[in-house]
Parts: sequence; structure tokens; C-alpha cells
Amino acid sequence: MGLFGKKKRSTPDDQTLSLYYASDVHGSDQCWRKFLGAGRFYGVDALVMGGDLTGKAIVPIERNGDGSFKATFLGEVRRGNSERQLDELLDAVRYNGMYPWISTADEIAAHSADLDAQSELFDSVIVEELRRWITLADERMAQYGIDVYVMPGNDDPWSCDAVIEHASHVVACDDRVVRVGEHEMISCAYANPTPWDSPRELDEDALYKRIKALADQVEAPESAIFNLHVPPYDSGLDTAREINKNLEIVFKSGAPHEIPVGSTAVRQIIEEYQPALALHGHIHECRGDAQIGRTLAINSGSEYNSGRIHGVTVAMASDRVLSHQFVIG
Amino acid sequence: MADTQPATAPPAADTKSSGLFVRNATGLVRGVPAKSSIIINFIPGHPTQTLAAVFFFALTLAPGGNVYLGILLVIPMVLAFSYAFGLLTSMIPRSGGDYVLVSRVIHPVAGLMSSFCITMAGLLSNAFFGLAFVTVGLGPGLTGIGLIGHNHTLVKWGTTLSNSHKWQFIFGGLMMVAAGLIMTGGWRRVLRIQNTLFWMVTGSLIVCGLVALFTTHSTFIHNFNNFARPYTHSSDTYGSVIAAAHKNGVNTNPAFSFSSTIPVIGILATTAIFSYWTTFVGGELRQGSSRKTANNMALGGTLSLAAVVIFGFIFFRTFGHSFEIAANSGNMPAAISIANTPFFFLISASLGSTIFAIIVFVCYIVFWPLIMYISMLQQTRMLFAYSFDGILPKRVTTVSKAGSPYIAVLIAVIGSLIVLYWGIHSSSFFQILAYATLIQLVGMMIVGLTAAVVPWRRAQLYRASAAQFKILGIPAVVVAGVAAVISGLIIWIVYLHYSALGISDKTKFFTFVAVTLGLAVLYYIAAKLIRRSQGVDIDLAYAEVPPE
Repeated sequence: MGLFGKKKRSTPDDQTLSLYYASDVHGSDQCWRKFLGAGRFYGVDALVMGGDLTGKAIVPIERNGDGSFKATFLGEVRRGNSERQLDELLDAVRYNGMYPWISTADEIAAHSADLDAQSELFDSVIVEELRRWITLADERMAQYGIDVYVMPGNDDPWSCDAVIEHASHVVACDDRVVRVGEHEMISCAYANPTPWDSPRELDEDALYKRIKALADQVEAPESAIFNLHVPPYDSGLDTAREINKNLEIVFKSGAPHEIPVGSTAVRQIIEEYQPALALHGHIHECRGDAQIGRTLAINSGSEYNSGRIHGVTVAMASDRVLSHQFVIG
Repeated sequence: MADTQPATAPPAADTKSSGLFVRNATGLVRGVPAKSSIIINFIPGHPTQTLAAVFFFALTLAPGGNVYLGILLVIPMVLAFSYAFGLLTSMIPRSGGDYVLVSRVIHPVAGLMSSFCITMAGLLSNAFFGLAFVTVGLGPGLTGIGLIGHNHTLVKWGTTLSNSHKWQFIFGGLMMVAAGLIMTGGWRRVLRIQNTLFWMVTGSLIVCGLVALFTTHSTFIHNFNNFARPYTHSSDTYGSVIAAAHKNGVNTNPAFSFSSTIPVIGILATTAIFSYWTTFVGGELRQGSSRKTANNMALGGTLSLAAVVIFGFIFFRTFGHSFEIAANSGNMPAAISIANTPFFFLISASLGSTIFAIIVFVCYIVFWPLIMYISMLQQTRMLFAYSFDGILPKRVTTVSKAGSPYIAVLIAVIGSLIVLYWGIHSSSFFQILAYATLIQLVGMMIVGLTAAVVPWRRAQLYRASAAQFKILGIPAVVVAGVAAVISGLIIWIVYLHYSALGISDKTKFFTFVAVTLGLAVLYYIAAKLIRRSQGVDIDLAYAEVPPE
């Protein structure tokens, strides 16, 4: 083992694929555009997006007849009366992975009191934004000749799927086997149950069956990539604070209680099939890698609202990972 | 799922108060309450340590200096550093502190320079804590308990510990290992121990403060004389301490002097200006991207100084200003002489209770592993950040099942032991403290510079952050950054001007700074070359991807 953990020097001839993986951009326009920019920047063959594309919050911006506006953002009330100030606020909201919604005080008040109306509003803004993202990816990545693989994550509403499926260059990879260079890749957007009851959750048995059905279709598991949104249980890639049913952090002895929250099904699948590489997201604070048998499992982590995209570049040989590097772009 | 950064969007129940619409999605949780963050930021300037510095250094090195005025002058510096670090951390809420902030905004080499300086300061501080644990903690504590309880063996042990290099290294080293062990159990256990130790130390201070508050000055004199009589055979030991000082040329009632107040700023700077410590663990404590990150740093720093004022006032009133000056100038009778004449000793002596002395001593002594652990947060998180960027072996980031970064902890402990050995055998108490303070200020000034340029270097990040607010039309982060640089320069000038504060050989000191900065550059070049030979470009770890 060398000083920096490299087992042996590899020649470029070994390399069959270079890819950039990121996940959990959660509506950050900046991170999505950086994800696309990563292809040329890092000089990779393929880009893989591991899910959770969409934002979690809408920032209502109250616009008055005189052009002035007011919004509460990052805990502060922001006011202004010029188009330039408004544009700055819109950029800031999108930068942080939220969706701006400009409306009147009455409309905002009406939506505040009506969860169904909020839900409709979310669907509308999410689809609109995602369509814009996918169009940008189709246009630019086709031009550069970089393959792009995108799947939703457990947080993404079902309305996202159609937008991704209708892409022209972007490959919708969820719930199927696709080829990334000479490597087979399976993808699964589902997570094991969370306290939030997010759109795509399955109990461990169902999740195992779903992934196994995909893994059984893989011809050469030893060279395959398993792109599974949720990380394997108790792998060090899945430690998070325990949340109670009120969505509050559980404290024990005055400190947040941390527990593994990954999927036992995912762990079992990796242990059974031993792919060359397993890519994960979902637990933002658990950026890192873990060796599970011969499989290198990676969680790229996420800090989407910092405007920097967390990702990892991976160089692969036919049946193993040659090298990988965590990057923050 | 759960976010590294603080959840900016609250759960649905909070929609009305936040002004946001949120949907069912993972990660929408409230962050850790401010308590842990404020405690971490409070500890470096904890009044137990700052009062010791004031009593031990300020009264003797700066006679005529006004401690309260000094505190007043230091508060703007505390705020400057707190908001420079805090606002930057709110913009880049990651663990790793100054290294992450500077490398992402200015350049990785600048980040390493800052980081090397602050790490070097951390190791020097650890050496100081190890030394102080024995020489102003364990030794005086045992001596004090022995004197109050008339136990000659304890007195002898305390004296031996305070004066023996061998025992200083052994017990200082053991304390370091104990602090390292605190960190080997994962965050949950760490925070539990941290809060327990914090409340032990703070509780002992509060109890001593309350006893002092309800003890009149004349009662204290009476009690102290009663305590000392068996040793000094004098009915007025209190008066004889002051008389001895006068005889030795010490002015125990010096007139106020502003020029003597200036070095007090330097002395206070050894403890009071480091209330930005959550910057090193910001990504873990979910203090994140709101202004609360900076506010909690400022609150931690100002609260600790406020406590110094309150307890300082109480102790000065009860013990007497002249007596404190005389006692700390080496004029206590040899039979009852204790380094630093700690407040817990005087209070216990006044009460004449051995049990009380033992309790407050035990609660006081845990301050040193507590502050040592706080200091080590910087080193361990820095090592993690290096490793993630590919400039340290990945194995450094190995964590135990409980989530403890035990290899990083081991590195920090070993590094600290080496510096402790150097500190004991090759330097002086003052010099360690002065070097630690000034080299740390280099890193802090680099962070100040980073804050001053961030609205232009990372314009989009700045505009999208909660740090985007202005003071008199100037971005607050710029104001804080410039003020931090100016504050750092002022403290540097104070130290270079007053050689009694520990910088007697300026050439040696500047060489030390230059070598530290040079090592940072060399380290970057070496890491880059090694990684390049492995086919990895570490510049990519730092480089910002141009958005499409």
C-alpha cells in the first residue's frame, strides 16, 4: 500500500471508463449546471446523477402593485423595490435549492392555508424546473459527446419520471440495466422507510426483491456498477441523527443520537453480487467510501445549498476500480 | 436524507413562521439547538482560564493596566473574528475550519498556510494546556488541599509536580491522552462528556463566585489569616503579603495607566479571541447557513468575557486588588505559596473546608482536558479535510464503529506530546503562549482577508447566502474581515512591543513563522507531485466547476 492508499500503479491501458458521480442536488440550479459542467472539467466519459433532483421548499415572494417585494429567506426578511434586487433574490433562492414563487399577498395567504394548493404548486414548479434542466443537459451533453445517466431519488415526486424519460440524450437509468461504456449499471431510486414518508420508499424485503430483480439481469456483476440511491446499512456511509415521529432530532444524554439508517437490503445485495462499484447518495453528511468485500461503495455526500457540488471521479478497469477522488466543484 | 448543512427549510409545521412552503421530503429537521455550539465557542475563553491569565499575568506584567478597559477593547476584536469566521462558515458550512474557508475562496496554498499556522498554534496550545494542567492545576491544587487539610504529603506532591520536568511531562501527557480518549467514542459520547465537564468547571466557578459574593472583604482577611496562622505563625499574613510586596518594590496600588492597559489586551488575547471554534465542526453541528452560526460565535465570546468581568469583579472585591497583585508577584510566604494563587484555593482557604477544596479542585482540574479536547477538534477536523481533498492518506479518516476518528486523534495526541516535551525542556511558559497566540493570529488574519474578499472572489455564493447584509453600505463580512486583520495586527504589535509577553527574540520568532508558512507551501507541492504520480490531480479537489 502506498503512502496515499494506492495499491499499485495502473497504466492508462487498464482504464475502461472514467465517470463523475454526484447526487442529491435538491433543486440547486447551480449544482445541476456544475454537474453538467463536470463532464468536460474532469475529462470523464460519463456523468451519473444518483437522484434527489428536486428542491424541498418554495420561497413565496410577495409582490406589490408598486413593484416592491418581500420574502422570508434563510431566516431573514428580504425587501426590495427594483428588478435588479428581485433578480438577485431569485438567483439566491435557486442557488440554495429552493423554488421562488412570485405572487400577491392574497395568493400567498391562500396557499399558506391550503396544503393541497401547495402540493399542486410544487408539482408545477418542479416539473417546469426539471424540464429546463433536462433540456439544457440534452443540448449541451450531446454536443460534447458525454453520456449522462439520471435517475430520481426517494424524495422526487413521480412527475419527474416522465420528464427524464422524454429526454433525447440523457439516459433515464432508474429500474433498468444500462451500459456505461463496457460496464453494466443498475439503478434504484427507492429508499428504505424514512420518518418523512417520502414518495419512493419500500420496506427492506420489497426493496431487496426490487434490486435483486435488476441484479439478476446483470451478465457480469464483477464489472458492474450498482447505482443505488440509499447506502448500505452500517457501512459508515449511512450514519445520521435519529429522528422521532415529530421529525425532531432524538437527543440522548444531551447529545444527538446517531444511528445507521442505510438499507439492509442494499447491503445484502452488494454482499451477494459483489459489483466493482456501488454508488450512493441519500445521507448527505456521510460522504466517504467503504470496502464491502471486493466492492468499493461510495457516498458522494451533498451540500447543495453551498453552491458547491460534492462528487467523486472514478476510473475503472474492466473488473475493478482503479482510483477515485472526492471533489467539491 | 438528513443534511450536513443545517436544514434551512423547517418541517411543515413551521411553514407559517418560516415563510416557506415545504413538502414531504427527507432532511427537513431542526438543527442541533444553539446550546452545544455556544458551549464550544465559550470554552476557549472560559473565565476559569481567562481569570487565571488575568490574575497570573496581567497583574504582574502590566501594573496599572485596567482589566475591565482591556476587556472592553478586546470585545470588538472578539466580534470581528467571530463574524469573519462565522459568516464565512455560514457560506461554506463544512467541517475543516479555516483550511476549507480559505482554500475555497482564495487558493489552496493560502488555505494550507492558514491551516499550518492554526495547527501549529493548536499543538503549542496543547503543550501549554499540558504544562498548565500540572503547574497551575494539579500541582497548586494538591498543595492547596494539603495546606487546607494540613496534609504535608499532598503539599509535597503538589510542589514536586509543579517543579519537576519529568512529572510535568508525565501528567501533562496523561492529560493529553485522556483528552484524546474523550474523542474516541463518537460525537454522542463526546458531547455528553463535553457538556458534563463544562458544567463541572462552570459550576465550580459559580459556587466559588457565590461564596466570594457572600464573603465580605474583612471576613476574607479574617478567614485567610486564620488559615495561614499555623504555617506563618503570624496573625496578619494577609497584611504581611502586601507588606512583602512593598518591600520588594511592587506597587500594589498602581495608578491607572492606559499604556499598561495595552499589554492587558495581549494577555486577554491568549484566551478570549477564539470563540469561532464551531467553524471546525460546523458541518457536524448543523449550525449551517444562517447567521446564527456567526451570532453563536459572538455570543460565546462575549458571554465568556462578561463572565470574566462579573467573577473578576467579585474576586477582586473579596480578595482585594492589592493582595492579588502581591500574591501573584511572588510575595506569599513560602509555607503557603501556590503558583497562580488560584481563586478556588483562596475561597477554600477562607472557608477552611478540605471537602469543599477537594470538590472545587476536582471540578476545576477537568477544565484542562476539556480545553485540550476543544483544541484537538481543530486538528482532527483539519486532518479530515486534508484527507478528503486527497492531500493526506485516506486511512487518516478511518473512523471506529462509534464514529470516532481515532487515527486523526492519535496523530493529534502524538504531535501534542512532542510539542509538550519541547515546551517543557526548551522554552518558557510565556514563550509557548506567545508563540501559540501569534502564529494562530497569522491564520486568523488570513481568514480575515478571506472574509474581506469573498463578496468578489465568490460573488454568487455571497449573494445567495445569509451573510449578505451590509453595515453602512459595506458588506458585513468585509467589515468583519478587515476588522479581523486589523485586530490581528494590533495584537502582533502589542506582543512585539512588550517583550515581557514572551517574544524576547524576534528573529527566532519570525524564523518560526516563516518556516511554518514555508512548510505549508512545500507540503502542497509534495502532495501535488505524489498524487500526480498516482494519476490524481489534487487541484481538482479544490477547483470550482464552471456551470454550464
